[in-house]
Amino acid sequence: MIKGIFDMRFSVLASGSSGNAIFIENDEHKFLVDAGFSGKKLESLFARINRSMEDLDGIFVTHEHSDHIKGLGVVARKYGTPIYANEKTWKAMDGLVGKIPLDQRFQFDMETVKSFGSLDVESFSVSHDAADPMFYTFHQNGRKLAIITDTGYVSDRMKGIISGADTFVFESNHDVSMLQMGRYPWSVKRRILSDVGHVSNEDAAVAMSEVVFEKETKIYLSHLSKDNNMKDLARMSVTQTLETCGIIAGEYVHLFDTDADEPTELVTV
Amino acid sequence: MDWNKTKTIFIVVFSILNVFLYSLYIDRHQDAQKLQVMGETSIEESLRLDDISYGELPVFTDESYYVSAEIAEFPEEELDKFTGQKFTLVDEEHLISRLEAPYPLKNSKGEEQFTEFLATHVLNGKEYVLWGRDEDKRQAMFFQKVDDYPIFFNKNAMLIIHWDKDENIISYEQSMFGEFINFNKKKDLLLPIEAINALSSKDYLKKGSTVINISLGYSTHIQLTKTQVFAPTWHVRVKLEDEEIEDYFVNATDGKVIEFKDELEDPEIDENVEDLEIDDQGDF
Repeated sequence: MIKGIFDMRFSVLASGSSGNAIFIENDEHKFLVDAGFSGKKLESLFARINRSMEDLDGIFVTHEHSDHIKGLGVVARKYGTPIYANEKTWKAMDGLVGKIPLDQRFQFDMETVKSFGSLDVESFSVSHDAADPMFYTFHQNGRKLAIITDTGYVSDRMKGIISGADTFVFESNHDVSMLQMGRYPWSVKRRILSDVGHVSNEDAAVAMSEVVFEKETKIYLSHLSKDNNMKDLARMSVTQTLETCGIIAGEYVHLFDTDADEPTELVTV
Repeated sequence: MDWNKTKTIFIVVFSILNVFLYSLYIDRHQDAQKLQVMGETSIEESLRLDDISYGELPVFTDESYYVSAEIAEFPEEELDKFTGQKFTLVDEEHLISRLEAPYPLKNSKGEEQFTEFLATHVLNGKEYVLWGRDEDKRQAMFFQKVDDYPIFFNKNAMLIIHWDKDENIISYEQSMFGEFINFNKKKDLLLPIEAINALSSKDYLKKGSTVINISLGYSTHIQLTKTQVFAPTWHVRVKLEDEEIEDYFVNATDGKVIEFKDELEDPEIDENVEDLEIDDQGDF
């Protein structure tokens, strides 16, 4: 591995029910996964990590929900950024993101790999109530970053694709009892708890326990529900569930918070 | 075309339009303010219509947080400091103590001396606050406190003191949580009157009730594998028309009414612990 030259770095710019955007870069390229905030907000998030949206080489879209594409159209038009999504997601985004010039529209099929210099991006299917939701893993020089922030459950196939990553940006959406006791209508609760909704703190931890290898691993708990979760609770719950699965957080697995408004530090994967 | 005339007409028309829009804005602003005032009075009014009365309500200004803690074990070396008691542990987390020499419940002036007893005979005794006594069962129930706020009816944060018919304390049962950790996020609390309204609107309060006390504490909100998360909770004590006293609990962050049926029905710790005694000789 050529250390330093081709390091892959990333920052979860912000993540939560109100919006999601994750920045990834190496020395050749800069990408964004989802643009779930207004253009202005995205610009300010970029400024916080001393990066500029002008330098973006592309945005990978996971699915068409507004908390993932809110600023997509604006950014694409303002900066001429290439946008990558699968066919069904492109169709579902029609009318949601405004006009995106044809030469900026790229199709990224499910379960395929695209290479950008030394960086390989792999797409994989998830179980979520969108047209054709998919997430991504990023590979470079034997390092792997896996992103999965919206899925109702983590299938064996998903586990196979993300397993062994050095860094996970992993959904830890809700605490089940908070959701059940909370103010959401029953139909919404049922949707969140379903196989096409979101994973809870405990379910996330159980899934993570099956995909981390015995090596230094970072896990960023993401897409926390504003109403049905709290950072401290998510971390505590994941820590304790991992422990019941035989993994002690802090030994080789390290948990990190993400925030709905603040970027995480730009770090090497 | 006379552009000067056209310009003047435009200026006049837009000036009139601006005045009209501004007056609309002022009207809406005033309506919104009126609505807020009506909202505030409507709680008081609806309580009055329901014949619910209350005295001066506390002004709560402290910041409040969710807190979490793990159930604590009773360290042998700490219990060793308390002589004259036979300790038995159940699941390492519930302590039963039997006093070798009875301790008088009341002092020479006839006053109950729980405070002294807690300070001298109970591990972390100062962390407990009296909830109530049951003269028939000859026992008093105490709740562990977080700072100065009691944790209501949590079987892992209780102390129950028993006395005999001669009013001598003979035993107690204790459980406790370890270090309490504040969650980072500060929570906005319901006002006391909103807590009363939450009870009244859900028909918990009977007509003619008087709220005689309202105070803040904690109740279990979420139970994790090892940890419990506690939410700020209003305790509302109410006197009914027939002088009977009733206690209600309202989650101070979301207004949900909390009921503690299980704990209330059976606060006692199962004493069937013959096989679990940690030391046949009694003291550690």
